[in-house]
Amino acid sequence: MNPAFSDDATIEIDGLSKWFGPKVAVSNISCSFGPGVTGLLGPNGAGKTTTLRTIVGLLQPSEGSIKIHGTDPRTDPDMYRNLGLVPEEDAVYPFLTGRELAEYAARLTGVTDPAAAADRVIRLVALEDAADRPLSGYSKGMRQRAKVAAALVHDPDVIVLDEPLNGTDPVQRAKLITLFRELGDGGKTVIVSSHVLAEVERVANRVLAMVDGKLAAAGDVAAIRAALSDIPYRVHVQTDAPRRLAAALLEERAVHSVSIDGESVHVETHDLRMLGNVVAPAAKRLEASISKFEPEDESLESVFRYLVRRT
Amino acid sequence: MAIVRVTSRQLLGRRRVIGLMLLSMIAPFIFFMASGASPGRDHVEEYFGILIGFQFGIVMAVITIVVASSSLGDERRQHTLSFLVVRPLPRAAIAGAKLLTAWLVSFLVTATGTVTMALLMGWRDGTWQYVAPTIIALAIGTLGYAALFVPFGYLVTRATVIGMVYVFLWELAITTPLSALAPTSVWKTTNVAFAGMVGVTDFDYGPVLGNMAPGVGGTLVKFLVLSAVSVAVTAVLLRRRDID
Repeated sequence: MNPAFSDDATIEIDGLSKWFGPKVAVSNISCSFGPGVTGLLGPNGAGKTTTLRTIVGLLQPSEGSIKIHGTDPRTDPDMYRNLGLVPEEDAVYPFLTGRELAEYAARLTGVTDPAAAADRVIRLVALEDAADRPLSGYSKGMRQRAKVAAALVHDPDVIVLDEPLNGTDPVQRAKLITLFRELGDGGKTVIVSSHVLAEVERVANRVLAMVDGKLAAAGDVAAIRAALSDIPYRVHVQTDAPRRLAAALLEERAVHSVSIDGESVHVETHDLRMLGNVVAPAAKRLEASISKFEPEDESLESVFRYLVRRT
Repeated sequence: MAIVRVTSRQLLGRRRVIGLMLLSMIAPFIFFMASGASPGRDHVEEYFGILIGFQFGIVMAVITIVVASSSLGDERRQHTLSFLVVRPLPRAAIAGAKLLTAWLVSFLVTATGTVTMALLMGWRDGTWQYVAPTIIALAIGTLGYAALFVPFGYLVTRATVIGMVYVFLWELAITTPLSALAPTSVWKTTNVAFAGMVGVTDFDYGPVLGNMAPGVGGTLVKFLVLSAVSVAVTAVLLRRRDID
């Protein structure tokens, strides 16, 4: 089965494209999401937020379709009884307290006892101490937790979280990750977007990677990791004997190719650790000094571009 | 009702309320000074002149346009609209709640100065019969402006500027010489309702009614229809447009 599709799909995306004037934000994505936590991974500008906002019906698809529980979210507002959204931006009313925000969300969603529901989610995100203070005085991390509380107050089956860990400190992050995992384990469909691989790795069982508006890779975290391990890395080595060092490194199994630019040697390798082990002995043997040894091309964006080229 | 409560708090920011309340109190201050300068005679002319020309023509219009265009405009600017839209609510219910709040808030803010002026008139002349028509006309006028500018506030970022152009260029400068266009003016239609309620007085309405005959019923129906259209248009916009 195509790893972009879930066996037990709650959300189905078919040929989704979204453009704003001449700018294509999302290009022909087809995938599905089912119970459990799915990470939507990609560098900034990859189209994650556009995809999530289109899924929840805030944006109209330019092409393609989205179904949540078989329903188009833009035609049936009742579907929102089962959907919770944490938007990326700081979309909170600064004059409300954290508790009031959750209670407001509960009332708008038709929860029978909004005050009790708000209390429950305030405890769930560990915001009790600040719950009765206006959101304008919250830190970014606290506002994120208040948004999570408002998204969960009606106990939805589908939860869409756009960069929910942004601005949170390590302790808060660990708590939120545990919460998201518990929601996924409890049978809810949880989508968490992030541009940090390590973050997604901790929270999601399944990952969809996006870049330049396209789906670059999909699968479980181990499969994505394996795909990433094939990436050739470029390393910049600065030395006073570039030609001799380049010739020596070409003999090494870890080195894929080298190029010389003045006192710089650019080395391409599949195994960063092994390269590190051979450069210093080679320099010592040649009596060359090394003033710099640094990866050139290790950004997440380049990793994803590699995945796109490969697929 | 939850939307009405939260929107009221959003619209009633401290600086905005203070600024608009001060604007609302200019007319009673002018009336107090003008009527105090001529004791011993009635002050119907000053009252009608200031109420119709300034309080209805400028203050009510400006306050309601500012408030109404912020009703959905603030949600859009502060990116809180997604919070509201991702709820199991018909878009018409959201639009209706936004219009209701804009109307209530602008009416209450404008009423502080307007009611003060009506009470001052009663105190100076001992005539209280203008209090109720003044308040009813204010309620009708604020409804008319709110119905126009709630959808505008969502549609364009500079709705307040467009509102000022509407008030000062269209209502004051264009529909005055071209009296056939008077029915397109919320201000002149409000005046028609007020004139219909107070009956015959010595005050010369002149061009402030345009080609319309005094009467409150027609004005009320007209603005209720305008409100229904406003809710329908806003609901369609909320459904069709992308929410940033």
